[in-house]
Amino acid sequence: MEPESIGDVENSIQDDNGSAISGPRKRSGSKTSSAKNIRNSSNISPASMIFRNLLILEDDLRRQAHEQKVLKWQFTLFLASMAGVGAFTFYELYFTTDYIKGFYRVILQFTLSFISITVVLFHISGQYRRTIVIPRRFFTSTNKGIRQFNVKLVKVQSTWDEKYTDSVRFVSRSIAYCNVYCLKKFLWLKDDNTIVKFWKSVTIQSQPRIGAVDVKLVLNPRAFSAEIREGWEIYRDEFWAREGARRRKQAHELRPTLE
Amino acid sequence: MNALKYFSNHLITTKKPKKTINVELTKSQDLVNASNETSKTGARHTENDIIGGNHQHNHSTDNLEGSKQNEDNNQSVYIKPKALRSILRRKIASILWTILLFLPYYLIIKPLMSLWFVFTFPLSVIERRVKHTDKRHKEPGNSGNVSSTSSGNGNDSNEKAGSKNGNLNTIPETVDDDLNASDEIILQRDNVKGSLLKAQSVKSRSRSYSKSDVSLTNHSNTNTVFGTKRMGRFLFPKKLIPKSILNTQKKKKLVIDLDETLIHSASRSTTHSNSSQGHLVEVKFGISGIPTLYFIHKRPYCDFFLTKVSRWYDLIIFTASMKEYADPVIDWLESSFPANFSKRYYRSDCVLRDGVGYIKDLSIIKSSEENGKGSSPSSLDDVIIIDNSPVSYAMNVDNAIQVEGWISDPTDTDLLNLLPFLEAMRYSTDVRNILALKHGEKAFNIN
Repeated sequence: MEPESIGDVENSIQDDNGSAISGPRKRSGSKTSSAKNIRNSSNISPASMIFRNLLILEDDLRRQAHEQKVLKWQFTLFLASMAGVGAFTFYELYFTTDYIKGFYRVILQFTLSFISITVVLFHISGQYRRTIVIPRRFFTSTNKGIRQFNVKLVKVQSTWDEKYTDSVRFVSRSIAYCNVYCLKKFLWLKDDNTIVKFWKSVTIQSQPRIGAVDVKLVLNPRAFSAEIREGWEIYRDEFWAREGARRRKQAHELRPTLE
Repeated sequence: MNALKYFSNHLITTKKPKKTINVELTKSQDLVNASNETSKTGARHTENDIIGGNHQHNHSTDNLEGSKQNEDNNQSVYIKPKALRSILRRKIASILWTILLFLPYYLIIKPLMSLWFVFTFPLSVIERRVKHTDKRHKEPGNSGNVSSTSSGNGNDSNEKAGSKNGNLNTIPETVDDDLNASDEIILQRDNVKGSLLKAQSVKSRSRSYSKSDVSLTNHSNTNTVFGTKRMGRFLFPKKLIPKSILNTQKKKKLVIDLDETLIHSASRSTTHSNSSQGHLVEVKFGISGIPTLYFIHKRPYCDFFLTKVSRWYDLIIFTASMKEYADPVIDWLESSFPANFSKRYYRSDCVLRDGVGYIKDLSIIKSSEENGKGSSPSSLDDVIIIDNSPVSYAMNVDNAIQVEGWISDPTDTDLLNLLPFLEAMRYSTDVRNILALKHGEKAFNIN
């Protein structure tokens, strides 16, 4: 955050308090007011600043964890399907009793060699490391990196009902996105069409949950007292509650007049 | 006739607009009363007969007695006025519709509805549970409201109740990248357990809070105040990442050490485990003029690290070694990843302290920037230094990330481990807030 904006916040606090301070620091010319602002900037508790930055850190780490998970699943599926096809061709070529000949055999041989070359290249080019090994170690390696700052990244286990709602939301969201795309692309419907509006409202209503739902940062109990750790949890939950309310309100404003 | 009645009743129960038909029927009764001076019972009789007639119309293979009676009734219907006839027609149409829709309704719609109910049952249960808990949360909030108004602090109320009442509308959207002073929450310390409780009303707030604190809460526009005496009030940002940081083209600066952090170099005489693979650099020092050969080894993942990090930060090399030695090494490093180091600092830029060693003072980075641009706040809130020796960053401990010094370990992953953290740090508003956490609880009292 730039210092001017800190000054802004302080001004707003001071205005609430009844003391008159002119404008933010960058606009204030006189020495006295800037001095006041500097004194005020110690008014923002360091805890708020730290927690706020921890929120930013946590949110980006959450995004990264999600990204790595998706990457890992994509390429695991890719490799598994390749292995399946490879095993099938291998079996067809060498383990079946009746000898296969002709064009079919050529195709099988080509597939087998193609797959083996792809796998070897995948490994040599470092893609295997990038897409499978590093994502699998994401939590351990990240925790090694941030251990010196007395924080830790942990997974949050969600209950079955949360998982169920998440999956339902995911399904309905993807269906709605698909529908909106199809309606606009192939049926040339306008944005203000009722059906398009309806599916758009579905996408808004089935947004994923926000906040510390899958990954969260916890403070190291050896370095921080229970009060601070609990304060961090409360701060995070409160921020995401507010953020959720804000997003709901935004969605409500965006939503067409269906209700 | 009994069979007919059964049929008619059954059909009427299956169709949806039953009520409207009844209403129509009562209307028709009035009409009949007015025109033909028949009694109400008579009208009800005709109603039954009409239904019977319709069914006779549709199921013509019913018993004879019924059909005879219906013929009589049909005759009487013809005598009746036009209004009644139109009603009759409408009824016939509706019954036809119910017969048409009978199979689809029971075979398709009903099963689908029940299936839908079964599938969404857990959802509705959860929803009901959530609403229930919401209500429970709301109740103490409301009681808090009452008590606070009685004590003259009408502005204080529970957050949840506040959000329900549309208090969000009062939050101005223009201040979006600030910690908003009005959104505060005060936490009460539970002395027994040492944990924090959300204070529910002003009355329950302990007297230990200072007067200024209370007066602040009284003056704040919106409601709740979070915070503790030790940690101060909690201020919440409007946006997670302020727009000024999201939209800016300016990257944060990452100052990296050279020796033992990114590379390790050894002169020819020393034996190294894999010295044959190292890069050879010939250095000619100005004073002596004697060229010396150095074998330079990159730390594992060094190139990967630099490639990734150069996307998020402006890279600066700050080494405590001589310019003559560092320059060729940095050139070699630059050749192996797409970006460049924006600045290079050498031993001449370090501060020498007797008995301690060379200390890297980060303020010269800021001051050089100021000279270039004219005016810029000289705070180090966007500078991170990565170094292996604590002595080098002794003047800027709050900006430092410590890494293990690397000499020859080929399985070292320290640079790789730092990547997620560095990627997440690029949007922070002040890097010192996070990096100071290495002091533990002290970080909450400084600043």
